[in-house]
Amino acid sequence: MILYTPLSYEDIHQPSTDEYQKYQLISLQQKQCIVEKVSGDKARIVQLLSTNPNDFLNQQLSPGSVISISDEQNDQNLSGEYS
Amino acid sequence: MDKHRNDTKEKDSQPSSLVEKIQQLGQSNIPNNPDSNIHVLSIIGQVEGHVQLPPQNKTTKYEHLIPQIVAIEQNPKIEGLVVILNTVGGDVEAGLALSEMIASLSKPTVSVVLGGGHSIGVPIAVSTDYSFIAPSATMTIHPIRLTGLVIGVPQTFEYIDKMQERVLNFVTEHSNIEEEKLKELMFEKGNLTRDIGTNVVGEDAVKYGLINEVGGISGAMARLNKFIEQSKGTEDFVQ
Repeated sequence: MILYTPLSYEDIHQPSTDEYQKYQLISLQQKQCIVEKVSGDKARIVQLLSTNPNDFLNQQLSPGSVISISDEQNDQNLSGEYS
Repeated sequence: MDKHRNDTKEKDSQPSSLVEKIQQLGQSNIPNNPDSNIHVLSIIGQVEGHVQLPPQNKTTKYEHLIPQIVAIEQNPKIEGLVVILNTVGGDVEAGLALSEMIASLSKPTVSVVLGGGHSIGVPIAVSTDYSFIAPSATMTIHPIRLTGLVIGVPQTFEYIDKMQERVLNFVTEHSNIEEEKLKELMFEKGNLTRDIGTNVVGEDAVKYGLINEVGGISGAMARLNKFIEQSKGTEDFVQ
């Protein structure tokens, strides 16, 4: 199939909602992280949302590292750690 | 006593789920770096607006950055902010929101454009107290455009024109560039092969007055530390 259009690829082939649901915002060691679910309760850190440059030296929070999460902990994290 | 010690040793050596849980709950020992008095805000990929972009796009989300900027303003331990840009641009209003937030910070701010600070990256780059651009970095200045449903009436043009005026005003107010020069760069023909606008490279951005200085992170840190010292000096004076 050849497309001839000024529209972007995503405008024509919209990604499935599963693609969005793979990513989650969680709190790890009181830092906000975007994680990608790998399998079961395992997730890989995609992005660390912090402005503190020292957080990026923390090996446990470095993008690519696999962590284990469980749903109840997520809920706890999402509700509790915005203080 | 010895038995207890052995037990803990055993537990430490096993990467058990308990240890992982402790890590998640923030109870493990985190490296004890002294808190940095300078924080870094990175503007990467595309500046995302009200529509969530597909996950394969790298995006900067305003809902992530705005609370961080508020936290920087509120936290007395943070004395300065470095904004690192490598962005293709994106949503005008999200970009202007970030720019206004950075510009209204009471703490000293310095920006560094690395790689690219295109389109809406330009107001974000000039929103800081002082701006740097890497010699190889570029900034594309071009007119605003809309995607999605556009109603073909004259009012649409006026709407876009007004939006463009907001960007032009912000950039001229927060940098040394003249409005005429900025408009000239924005509506230039022949510089971008299939588009209207100009691709301004490192030194040219400084020449036009858009950016303060050609440099990198060392220059930015030196400048920020100078600003922090100055602001401390005035605080002492007030007291």
